[in-house]
Amino acid sequence: MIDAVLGFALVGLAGAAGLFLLGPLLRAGPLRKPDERAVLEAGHQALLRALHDLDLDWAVGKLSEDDYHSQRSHLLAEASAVLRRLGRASHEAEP
Amino acid sequence: MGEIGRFALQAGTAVALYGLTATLLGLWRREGGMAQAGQRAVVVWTLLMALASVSLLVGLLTRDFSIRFVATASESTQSIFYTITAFWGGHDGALLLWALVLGIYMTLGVRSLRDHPDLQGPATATLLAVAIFFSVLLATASNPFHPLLPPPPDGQGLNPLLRNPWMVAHPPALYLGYVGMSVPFAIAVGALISGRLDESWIELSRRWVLVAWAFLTLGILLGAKWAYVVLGWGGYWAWDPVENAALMPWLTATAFIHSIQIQARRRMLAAWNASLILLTFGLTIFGTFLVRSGILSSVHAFAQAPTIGYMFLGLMALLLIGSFGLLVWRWESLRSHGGVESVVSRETAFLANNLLFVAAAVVVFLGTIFPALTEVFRGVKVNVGPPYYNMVMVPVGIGILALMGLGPMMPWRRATAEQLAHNFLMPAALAVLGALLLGVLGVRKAGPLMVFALSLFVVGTVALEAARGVSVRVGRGEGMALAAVRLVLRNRRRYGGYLVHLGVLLVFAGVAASSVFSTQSQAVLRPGQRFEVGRYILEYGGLRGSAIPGVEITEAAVRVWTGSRWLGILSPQRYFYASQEQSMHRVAIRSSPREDLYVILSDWTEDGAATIRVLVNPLVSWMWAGGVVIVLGTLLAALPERRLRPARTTRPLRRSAGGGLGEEGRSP
Repeated sequence: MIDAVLGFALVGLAGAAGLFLLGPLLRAGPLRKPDERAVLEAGHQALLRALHDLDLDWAVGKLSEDDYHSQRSHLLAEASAVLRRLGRASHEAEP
Repeated sequence: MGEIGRFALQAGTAVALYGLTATLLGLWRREGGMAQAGQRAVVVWTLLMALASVSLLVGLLTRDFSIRFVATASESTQSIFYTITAFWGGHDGALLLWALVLGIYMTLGVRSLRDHPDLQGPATATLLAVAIFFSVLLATASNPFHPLLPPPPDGQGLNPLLRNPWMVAHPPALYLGYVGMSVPFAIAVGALISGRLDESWIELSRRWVLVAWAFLTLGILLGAKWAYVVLGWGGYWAWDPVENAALMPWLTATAFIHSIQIQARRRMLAAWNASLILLTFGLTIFGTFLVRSGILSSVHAFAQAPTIGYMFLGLMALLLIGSFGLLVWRWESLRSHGGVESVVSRETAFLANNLLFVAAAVVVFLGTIFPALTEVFRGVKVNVGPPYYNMVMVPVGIGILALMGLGPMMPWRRATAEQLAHNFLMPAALAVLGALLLGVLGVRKAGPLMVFALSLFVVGTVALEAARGVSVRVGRGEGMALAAVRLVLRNRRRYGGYLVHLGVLLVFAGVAASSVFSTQSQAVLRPGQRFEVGRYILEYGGLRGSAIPGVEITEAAVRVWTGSRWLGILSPQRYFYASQEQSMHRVAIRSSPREDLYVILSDWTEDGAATIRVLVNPLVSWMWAGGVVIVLGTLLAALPERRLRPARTTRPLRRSAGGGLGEEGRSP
């Protein structure tokens, strides 16, 4: 009796797993493209983190004033460029 | 239960094959449904491995000796605890645990890439290819549900060496470390296949590597602790091939964790970083091959199984040739965007650190495979012993220690003489003072003196930076405690890393002190006789016999004093496991921050005399404490970070008239 119940349960589970596995094949559609905004946002956050780290490095005396401002300008320029691309991507995504 | 387990493993092979085919077709035909089917196959495969694992557990708990693995790894007198842990106490069960851990990592790893479908597809395919290997292995040569007919009346029982809480925790921790490297490996392969070789794959891999690294560290230290308390020789590391197998990927993963910082900040070393993570996963498979192939003998190794060894060798070759082939294919795209501007910079220190870690991995690799090479070429296994490793690893370790202090305090790009003096003068003075003090206290050996002095140097650099950071925040009106907490929590990566470094210092100090200053003595004593070791007086009080199911226990009573101060009774034991006809030490250890008093019952005679061996191992407990600190530091560094707001971060800090830092209430 227990074996039979177990057998039915397994067959049921196998059926459910089969439907779960094969289901997506019935829904044709193109492969998703990377979410450009998410990628750019991640890149922007990485640059902000680098700026934050640079600030801390300077605050604790690891950098000269000249190096601090030069590195900061460089990172800011990169962050601004990413932000502009992010703005464009958001604009294009709007209906 | 055996049938369900066998079904789950066979179905697992089919599902993984289906998933890989669907994913590859999806990538080829740019078909989203097929790619999704591949991702669902990952979930179903994991559930099937969970079903197989539950079946094996039920088989163990119900003493179903018609399953060969259950009959080999358990017996009717075995406690429930060790019956459950017998799951990974034998080769086949351990592989099933490996597969279950792989399934969990795969499911989470594939899900973590949902916003990156260009990486998700190739990464899913890579992980499913690894899953197919383990499915086939488990369904054929390493099937834990292999029937044993007729079933024996009782099992053979778990190997007595494995009946220890540290060994219970060691394999799962190690597997969580080994298998965890599969996700960053798959992400790297995904980046190489898709051609998305910017810094995003580094950021996506970082947390996975940190978690896996923490588990690998924990696994290595748990294994060392097990060796220390069970093997009864007084040490914790013997450069055993299986110990080395875990150390090699740890070394390359540590190099990776440091070098990705250079890529993230300076856009350099992309090819190097990809190579490191590919190599790290390759080394985890190599480690498994070493443990399971029988190619090398070790106290940690499973029984010899050449077929399984060849299968692992095949997987390793496929992974390394395939992944490094991709690397060569993408070589041009992986060229660095920048270069090193000055030798005195953080990137140079990190590069030197990487070279030392990789050199250490090469040394360990050569030492590990040397016996196999000599067997092939000279027909006899020749082992290299600790002197080979110590000759190279001690200077490498000291170099790494020095770089732990130098690297983080250097700025990116270049450092001036003024900055070097500002950052290193005080820590260097602390190191020199510490070395002098130790010299006065009688420490004269160069190795430990350098380790302790450099450790103080590193502590000095971390303390100095933390103090300056706190001072900046205090200058902005925060209280000291709040400033310290906020500094750490708002810079988790940095201070998590420093905490890891402090943990590593504790481990280094423990290793240096216990390796060089350990003292030992052995005596044959009759009840009432005393002997001295170091500052301890030990009196042997006699033997006592007892028994628990399946085990005969012989226990010595050893009373301990230092001078006139009574410390208590230590009871070293010997367990004799009747069914395996094997005896095992149960060492008695009195542990303190200063040193471990390590007492072994080596032998005894019928008239009650006993051979007692005693070691005094300084600072061993620092190693275990260091392990805890390393794991906590890694967790801190891996915690999700708060989202930074551009409006705050993009305003520069300015020095105020009073010399303080910050602007408009902002502190870093």
